[in-house]
Amino acid sequence: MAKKSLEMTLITCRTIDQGVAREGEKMEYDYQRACGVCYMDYEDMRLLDILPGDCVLVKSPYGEVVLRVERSKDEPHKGILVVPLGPWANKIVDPETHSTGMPSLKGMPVTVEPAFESAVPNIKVLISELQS
Amino acid sequence: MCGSLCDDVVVLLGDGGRIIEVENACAVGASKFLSAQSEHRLKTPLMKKNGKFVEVSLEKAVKETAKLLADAERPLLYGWSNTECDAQRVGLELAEAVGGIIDSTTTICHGPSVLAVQEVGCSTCTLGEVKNRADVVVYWGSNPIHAHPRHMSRYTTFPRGFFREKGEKERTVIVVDVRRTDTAKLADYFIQVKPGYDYEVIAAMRAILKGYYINASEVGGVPTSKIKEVVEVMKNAGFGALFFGMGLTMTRGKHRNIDNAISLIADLNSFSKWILMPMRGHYNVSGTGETFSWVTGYPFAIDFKRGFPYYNPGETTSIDLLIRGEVDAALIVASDPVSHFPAAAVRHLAKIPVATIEPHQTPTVEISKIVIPPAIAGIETEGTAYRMDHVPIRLRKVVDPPEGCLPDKEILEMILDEVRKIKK
Ligand code: SF4
Repeated sequence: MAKKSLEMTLITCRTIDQGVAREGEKMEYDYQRACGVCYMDYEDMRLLDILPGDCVLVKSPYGEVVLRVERSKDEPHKGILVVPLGPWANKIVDPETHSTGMPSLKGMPVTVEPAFESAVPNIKVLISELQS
Repeated sequence: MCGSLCDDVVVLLGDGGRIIEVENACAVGASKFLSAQSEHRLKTPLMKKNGKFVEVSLEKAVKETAKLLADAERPLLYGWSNTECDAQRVGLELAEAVGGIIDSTTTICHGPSVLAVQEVGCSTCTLGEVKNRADVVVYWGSNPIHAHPRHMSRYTTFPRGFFREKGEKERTVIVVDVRRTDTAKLADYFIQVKPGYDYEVIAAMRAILKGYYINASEVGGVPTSKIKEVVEVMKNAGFGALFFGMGLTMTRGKHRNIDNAISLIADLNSFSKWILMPMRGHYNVSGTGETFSWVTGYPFAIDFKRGFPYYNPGETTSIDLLIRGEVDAALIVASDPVSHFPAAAVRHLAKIPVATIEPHQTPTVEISKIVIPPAIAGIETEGTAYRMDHVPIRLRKVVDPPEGCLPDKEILEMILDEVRKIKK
């Protein structure tokens, strides 16, 4: 069976869990739990045949990352993938600043596909990838 | 702590100066205080040897940092938003001494807002005025329930004010966002805009205000009738306040979105009294703008290579410098760019020697060559910080820092002395 995939728009966001984990606990699992996640509509999850807690591979022209899926509390926002700001989101955001200094962290197209066999990379793995 | 810079936080201390409870603060604010004494707190300066951190003396770490900066062709001094203004001022002196570029986290939050304000000006006020007067409050591309948890309860929506005795009952809240956020759930009006179409919705509002007819049933995914309804509420406000966040600065249009939002506020002032304010993230990011501006004339991204301050966003901004591979050493103070910069920028940062002044284990500490843990401003040392409305607030010392940890300002002064000796 062909692998399902969905074209979505990536929006990065702030969450209170991310804010709490940010204060001194960034190398801990709490930070991964707060930021290595993406939120989407239940309708979009059905299109991908996935359930909350499953993993997805999110690809953009700038990179790819595996994230855990949660059902968004803010639905409906069909076609929008919400990812908290952090090292996981940074792998897929558009670094172009258009001469403002500010990269484009909201509104870029991404492809999302189920990744049942994969796991969300932990922060140490992400850092060593960036160093290599 | 966030840009709301709550000044009513009460910290309960136990035996030996242990922080046992933090009252009044939100979850984010409380964790800032509690993490100061967590087991992950860094207490001794570290340097990498064969890929592993070894403990070194403060003097050695300072000397090596000074050498790293003095030897570099294009050093970047980045961060500054989580420390107090005096440390920022010494940072500027250091940037000048090494001919480097100094930039703050503004570069990746409200940099575009600063650019827009420089182009078209801005009508604003203090949060106290909003609390006492505002009857219409707009949050555009901002979700304070998560990012500034006490903003609505302390300053804008729920408190009783001098002219708003019934508090929330006398106020109308409008939220514009791409999704129904927890803030939107509390709003009287919610406008759900398509991602990247904020500029169009603002333009439609301005057109309606000026009496033009909009020949479309919807703009940016929002029914025109809904935009008209909200414009009517805004026009009839006694005192309106528009707060905007990353939803405007990080999307397509960037500073042009803010430019247009400021113009909307100017137009609304023909009918009523309106102000606008960026929702600043870090507690003293406004302070970086103040300190950098009163010393150099520029608010962020300042290059001292020519011997005088030079400012050109897009050229002298951190992300652009890193992506172009221009920077050959970095000093990071009170910030964590490895967690917040796009991977393309971090890859370059990971290649160059980095010294970090930081009290906690962070991804930036992991890639650093030298790490100096300081006393935390506002918990273990005093200082001044600016709230998001540019009101300066004195930070108090609550507990003693771990032995040997000096304030950021003193560490920077030591580095500056060493740099001056090298450059003499
Ligand atoms: S609202 Fe902001 S300043 Fe106030 S306690 Fe929470 S994080 Fe700190």
